[in-house]
Amino acid sequence: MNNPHISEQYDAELDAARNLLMEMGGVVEQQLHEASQALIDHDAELAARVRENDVRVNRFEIEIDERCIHIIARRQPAASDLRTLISVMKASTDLERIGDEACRIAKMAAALADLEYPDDQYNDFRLLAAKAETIVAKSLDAFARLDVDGGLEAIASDEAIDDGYDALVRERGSTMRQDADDIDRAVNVMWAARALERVGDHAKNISEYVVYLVRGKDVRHEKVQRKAGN
Amino acid sequence: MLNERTLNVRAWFRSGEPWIWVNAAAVGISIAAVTGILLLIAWRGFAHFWPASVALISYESSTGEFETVLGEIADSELLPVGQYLESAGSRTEALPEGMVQVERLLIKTGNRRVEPPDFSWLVAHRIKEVRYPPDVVVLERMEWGNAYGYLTQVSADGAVVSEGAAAWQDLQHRLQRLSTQRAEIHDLEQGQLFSTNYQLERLRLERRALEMGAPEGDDPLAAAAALDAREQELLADYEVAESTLRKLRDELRREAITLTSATGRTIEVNLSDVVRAWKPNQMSWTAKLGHYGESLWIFLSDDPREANTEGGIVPAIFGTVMMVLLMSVLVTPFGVVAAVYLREYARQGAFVRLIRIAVNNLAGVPSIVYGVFGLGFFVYFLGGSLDALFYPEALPSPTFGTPGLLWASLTLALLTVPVVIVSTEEGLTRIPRSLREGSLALGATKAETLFKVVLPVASPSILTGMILAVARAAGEVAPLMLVGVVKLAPALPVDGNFPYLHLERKFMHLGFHIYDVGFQSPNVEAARPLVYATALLLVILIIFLNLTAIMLRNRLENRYRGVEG
Amino acid sequence: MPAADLRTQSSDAPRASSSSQDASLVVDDLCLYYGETQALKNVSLTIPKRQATAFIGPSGCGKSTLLRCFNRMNDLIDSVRVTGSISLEGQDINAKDVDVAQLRRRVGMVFQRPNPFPKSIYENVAYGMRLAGKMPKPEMDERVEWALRSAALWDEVKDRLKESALGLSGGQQQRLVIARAVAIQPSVLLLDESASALDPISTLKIEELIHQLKSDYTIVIVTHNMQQAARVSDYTAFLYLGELIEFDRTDDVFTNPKRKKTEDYITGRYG
Repeated sequence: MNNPHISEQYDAELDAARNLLMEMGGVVEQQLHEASQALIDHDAELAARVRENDVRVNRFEIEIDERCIHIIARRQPAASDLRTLISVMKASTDLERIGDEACRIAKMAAALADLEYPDDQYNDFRLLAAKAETIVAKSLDAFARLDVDGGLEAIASDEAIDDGYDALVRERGSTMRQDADDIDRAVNVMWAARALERVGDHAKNISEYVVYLVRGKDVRHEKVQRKAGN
Repeated sequence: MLNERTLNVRAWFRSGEPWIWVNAAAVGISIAAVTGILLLIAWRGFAHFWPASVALISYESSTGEFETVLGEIADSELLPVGQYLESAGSRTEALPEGMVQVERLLIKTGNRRVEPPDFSWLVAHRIKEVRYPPDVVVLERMEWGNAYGYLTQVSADGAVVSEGAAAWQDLQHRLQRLSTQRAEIHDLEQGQLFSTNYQLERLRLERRALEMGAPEGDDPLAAAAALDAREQELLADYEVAESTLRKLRDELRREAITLTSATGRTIEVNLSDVVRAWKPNQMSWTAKLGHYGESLWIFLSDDPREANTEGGIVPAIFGTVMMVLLMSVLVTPFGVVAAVYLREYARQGAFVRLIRIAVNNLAGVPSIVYGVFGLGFFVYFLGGSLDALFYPEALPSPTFGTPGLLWASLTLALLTVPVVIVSTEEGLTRIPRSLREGSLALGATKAETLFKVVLPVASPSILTGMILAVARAAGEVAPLMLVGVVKLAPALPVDGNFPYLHLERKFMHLGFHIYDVGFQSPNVEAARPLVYATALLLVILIIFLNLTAIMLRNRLENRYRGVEG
Repeated sequence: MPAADLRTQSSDAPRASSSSQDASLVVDDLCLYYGETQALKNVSLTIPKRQATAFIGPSGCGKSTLLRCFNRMNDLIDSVRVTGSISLEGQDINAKDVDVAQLRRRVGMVFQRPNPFPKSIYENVAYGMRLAGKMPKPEMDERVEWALRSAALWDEVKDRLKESALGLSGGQQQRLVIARAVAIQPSVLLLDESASALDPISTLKIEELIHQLKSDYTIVIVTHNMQQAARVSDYTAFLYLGELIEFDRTDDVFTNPKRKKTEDYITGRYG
């Protein structure tokens, strides 16, 4: 995106922080996917693994923060470098939260695994999980490529997740009213869906950082046009 | 083995150590040379004032006769036999067998005019006996140098007053009284008589001026009358003073002493001609030291006598200092102004560079050329014009149209101005630009910056230039001979008569004094120690002048230290 | 990038953002030549009153030259030629009838290296006032104290006003030089890399001083320490090869510069 710094070491340090974030993103993506899969497949074992793996995610966050702090202290970054570091730090926080949400889903998955496998095969959840995974992937992709358009797309797609979540809550609510035996399952699925909705919010944040990083403009808490006028 | 050694030597050379040794040796040689010169001059010069013992020497002359010589052994030398025989003339002389070198002694026998010559060479192997009789008296006379002999009597108005041992006591008393009388005469001559004379001369010039044309609005008759009245007054004063002087002189002339020389001849000396009398062979070490101090003091504080070979060198010291001071006063402003223009105002270019080269080359012009220029331009042209304009009444005798202090100082100022320019320019160059900018940025003009900041900071360099100028000027002799220095100046350039500083007067100078005493005096042998003493004094004087300037410079440098950081 | 485009962009931004304040110095289409070489190319900018403005840029970019135009220090160099205009509070400083000494009294300057005069501390501060004319001693004393207080130096030197200024430390000397400039009450204070030759603590003291002084003076600093520009200035101008590349609020320049060259320079990518 830019000319290299006069100090190659500086470039290397910045790249390292960014790459670490990408690596963390990969881990978090996998966590999210596996948590959803565990829920959908009633795979208690997988769910347990996801929860164990959360430690790794946390470690990533700590390491990224440390690196960024060191660079700030030693290099006094300015302009795009400063924005990059701030974005990386913030994105790592959001990724960690996504990791937490994945754990929550895994917890629900563990609870659901004791129940009988339902007829609907969690289709509604499956749909929502796919959307959440997509937005996370898109955000990380935008971050990696500093792609504002991709980021803006991801931000826009968060609405679809919210809509999907609302639909799921409505659907499950009416199911609960009809079939009292299924309340347990419905509550757990709703909790898990709630976590997915949060994941969407965090992913959206990451995309917003991308816009800030590239444009130097804070788009949080703004109504985002589908295509920012250029 | 051999290889290893050459390697070692090569390594030693590469270490640079040999160069350090070479440098140290060069410095050492320089220091040794300087101290050697100073010690030699000091020894030769100041030994002269030590009251040497007077030897009575029995001597067999080449004709086989026995002679006695009374005098101080001044010097000794070894001559190869051949050279000795040659110098002794065609006389064939029987020398002891196997003799290769002949030792000769130089004896200062004094008693000039009575028993010439006053220096004689004696061949050591012919000397039979050397004694130091305690009764020998040395008289330092106003004229004709020292007298050596035995005191026989003191007389007044032709009658003998005392003889023998009593005579010596008597002489001491009389000499003491004499010194006060002599001081009286000196005061009278140099004070009242001199000043009256001076005023009479002024009066004569005024009258001359009056004759040539009275100033407007003045009654010429009244003015002439006033002049006459004043002249009468002065003449009356002069008469009184002169008669007093004559009386004093007569009184001195009344007394006389008689010495018997080694050969038995009688030497009569008027007491007024005796400066000092002493018996060196009786003197204790401390007495000799006292005598030495007295001699030194006389040398430093008295006027010269006997064609500068006796007495002191005060006028020369004074003249040298005056000339150097005047030269500094003239050269410094001129050099500084020139340097400031070249460095601060002139547009730097080929022309300024040319001027700078010219200035540098000016420093290399032989000094006698400056002397010729000074004589032609300052003395004849400027001085002549000044005389025609301001001193027509004195013509044809010139006032400024003749060599004098002012022209000598100006000539030397011209000679040393390149040094001051170069040094000042260097100082100005070294001043950091930021300092000037700092002043300009506060709203100072260029001139304000120059006077308030630049020149004060450059002052140590200016002083360095002055130090170099003084050192060069004080040592110059050649040009001075053309533009103002004389062998004997009748009056000091500064005295009590208005305008106190007489720039037109000729003056004496230590450098010229050395040359004059050493080579132009009637008695070169007698004068040689004085040459050394004067030379040492000149060196000391220059050192003193330089040290003063250096101390001043160091103070300034301390004040401005850190400016150039 | 065409020059016209640059001009509108660089001069519009500050005018827009500082429209509420008065302008101190207005530079319009300034070009400066050293003989044949052009050192400043069509520079236009408006320096707001009672704010600190920093000029940054690589060595030889013309930032010091531009600064020296404001008190006509460039006059000292024979070969310099200037076109365009600079006005100080509405008055053209290059006009024929302008007294340069008078101008320099209104536009004080502090240089890179501390350059106190080899005089006493007191005399250093009083120098500019003495140039301006006679002043009664009590008034002078008062003004010297005031100037030294303004430069945060009074407490350190009040007991040795008669001692040589050369005995002060580098940082103290630089503050003395600032006091010297402040003493004649200029309206603009130019600092030409004034903290670059000092140790970090002294540098911070000078920076703190700039913060205090800018409530009374328009301050323009040239620095090649970008962090320093970021710390002390309200506006930053970036010059490159004699051109004004960007002029904007410091906050914006250091987080989100508009121009690639600025970005490259302040992030250390300029090669």
